[in-house]
Amino acid sequence: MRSTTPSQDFIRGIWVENPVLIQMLGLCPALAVTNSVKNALAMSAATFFVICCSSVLISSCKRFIPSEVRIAAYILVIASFVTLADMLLQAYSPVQHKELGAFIPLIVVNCMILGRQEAFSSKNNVLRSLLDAAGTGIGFTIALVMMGGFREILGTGTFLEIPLFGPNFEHWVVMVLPAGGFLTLGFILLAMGFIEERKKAGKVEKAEKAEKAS
Amino acid sequence: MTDSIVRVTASPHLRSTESTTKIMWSVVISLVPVVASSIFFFGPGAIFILLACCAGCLLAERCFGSRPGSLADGSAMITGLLLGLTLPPGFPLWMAFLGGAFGMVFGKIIFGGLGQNIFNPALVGRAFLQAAFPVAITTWPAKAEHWSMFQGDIFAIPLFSPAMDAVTEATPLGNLKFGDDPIVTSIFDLFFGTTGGSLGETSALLLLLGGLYLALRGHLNWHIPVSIFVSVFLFSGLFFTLGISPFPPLFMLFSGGLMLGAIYMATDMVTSPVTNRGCWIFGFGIGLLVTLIRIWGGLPEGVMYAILLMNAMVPFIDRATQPQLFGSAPKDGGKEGGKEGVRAMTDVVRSEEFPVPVSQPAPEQKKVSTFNLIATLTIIGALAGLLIVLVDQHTRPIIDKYRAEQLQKAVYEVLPGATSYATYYLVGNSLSLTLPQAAKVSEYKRVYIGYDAALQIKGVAIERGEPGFQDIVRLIFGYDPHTATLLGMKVLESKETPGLGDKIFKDQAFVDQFFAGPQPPLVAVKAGAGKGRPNEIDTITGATISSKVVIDIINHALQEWTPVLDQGIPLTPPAAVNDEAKQ
Repeated sequence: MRSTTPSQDFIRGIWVENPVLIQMLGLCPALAVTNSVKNALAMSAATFFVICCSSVLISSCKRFIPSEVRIAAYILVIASFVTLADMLLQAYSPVQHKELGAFIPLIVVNCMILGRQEAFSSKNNVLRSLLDAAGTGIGFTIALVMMGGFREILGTGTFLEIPLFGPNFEHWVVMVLPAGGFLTLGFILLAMGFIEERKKAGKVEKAEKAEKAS
Repeated sequence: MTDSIVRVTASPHLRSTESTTKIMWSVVISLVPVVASSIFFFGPGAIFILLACCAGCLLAERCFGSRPGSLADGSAMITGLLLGLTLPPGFPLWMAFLGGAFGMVFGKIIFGGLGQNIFNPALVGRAFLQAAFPVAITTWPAKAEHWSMFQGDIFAIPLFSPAMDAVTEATPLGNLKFGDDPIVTSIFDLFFGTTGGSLGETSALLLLLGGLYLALRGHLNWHIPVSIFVSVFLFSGLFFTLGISPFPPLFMLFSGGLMLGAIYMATDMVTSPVTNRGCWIFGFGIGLLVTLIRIWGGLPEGVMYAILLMNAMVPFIDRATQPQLFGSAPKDGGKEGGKEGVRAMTDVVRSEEFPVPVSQPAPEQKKVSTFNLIATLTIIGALAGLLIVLVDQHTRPIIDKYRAEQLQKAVYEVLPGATSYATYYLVGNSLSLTLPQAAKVSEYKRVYIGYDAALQIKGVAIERGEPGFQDIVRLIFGYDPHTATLLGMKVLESKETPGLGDKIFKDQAFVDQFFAGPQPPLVAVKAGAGKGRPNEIDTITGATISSKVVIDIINHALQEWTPVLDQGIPLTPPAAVNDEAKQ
């Protein structure tokens, strides 16, 4: 295994290995609840809570978990933190809880969280697992807010419920419907692929130029 | 003898004089009468809409198309024209442009350009517009006073809503399906096109002529439109004679976008099956789907979705109808031998290309006893349970309090003037304040009876949920059993389509009708078409189904509760009344 510094553990998940946009993990919530920025933020916050708590707990008791039942144990831990997040959200932000509906309990099956436990927390110490989880959680937040912003601006003409275009804006209804989630994710991935390709082409050109010059 | 040169080339030796460009331009020519008729029927606005669609398609092809010179072959032009012909007159130009560009990019270019696409790009563009702007695309403005005037608000500023005409003209299909007094438009009008509808779908005559021209030139596979017509006629005839559908078969054939779809969209060479047998299956599928969607669907028209769905089936149809290769072994006989041979060959290839690694003995692993495994999981489970119980202890009262508050607020909202209420359960056939011993609260139906400050009864609040357009719609309404009038209504839960169905609680004018004292059983009427009777509720334009669900829920709830309420209800509050101050 390659060795990384703790700061790399943290930064990696934010963009270079962004869970949604690069690793394509956790797509279910990314598609389902990003019809507004507020929902995206609430979902991200709940996921952030679950991934950080699970990573800390699992990395601290990794020695006691036999590898035969590790996945079951991880799921058990994740599920209990999801239940906590569900109850806390229902108690302190009932309107938001109603809005997210069944998608809070579904955080349990978010493979991004299980993935971090299996790939990182089960092999590293508590601090580094926490940094890794926090980085991944922030990356998830960035992706969701990007999608939520795109969909909310086109779908309802607002950003964080602040009207941007005035009352006569024609809502792109499709953007707040499930189909809009797929379209938005497709758009963002297309744009990222396009930029990546341009970057590569630029690098090759530079290298060729440098070769010619020398 | 230098002028007779023998060329030695590889096959093919016979080349057709046809080219994509030629075929495409002859399709454009066959569309000229249709386009002319749309301008004749709908005025100069039609040409602007068609131009906007074409501009969107051509620009997208120019910017993102991979093949140089792909603009000149006319395929983008046809997509634009066909998309424009499916749009209603008065459709805003910016939306038409957007639909063209979207259909081109997401229907064609991302698959690799002409010849690679799965779905008809014009219909992809229209499906996007239908999903994005459902109101604009289902609004057919009434004919303008003079031919040269523009219908609707086609010059709406990009991104902003068009000004909606108060007067709209229903299409023949919509009229028959959702109209108050359904009329079957005469076949004569449908055939010549003197009816409302999208730009290019009104005149069956001109569409058929265009199709005939293309079929004679060999650019259109006549099997597809004919099979669609046959299957629509058969299925709608069957349902009509069984009395299930109100659509006579001939009306089905000539109304809506069926002619345009069957002749110009389903026959798209790229997205239709290769063999004639496949074409018949394809056409029959489209016909069946069109009939089903028109009779039972939420929209009046279903040609677009029918063709798109069958487009997706084309690869399977092609595989199933693949003709046998000349000289190859018959399919049923000799099958075994052939398969064996193939298997043997692939085995050889596999073993050469991917050498199977010699399996290495798995590394020694410490055996953990089953007891240990179970114990670990049990301990984790117990700890998790403990954690959950602790947090639950803390959050449960907050959640319960909030729920009670919400319900209380809703009860007071639908019973205006009430200052206290009591919850009565339906035990057996009468109302009771208390439940039998050891009974579960959730198993009993209940009503909330509200009282005013003078302790006189104000009305009864009833809660009920029923399936709506998307999911369960749950609402609470207030009812005065003495005057038999409604006092108010509040939607508690609904996942209806944003922008349309959610108007059942966002449209104040709709909600206010329930507070104005209508007398059930309620009747749904189209906005503005009511006759002023006290039981009429105007439905929301574009959300007819959701509005009707609200009305149905109230009617069903009252059907269920009226016998109980008629037996007599407590006129004064019981001692233990929920008289918390209004929040």
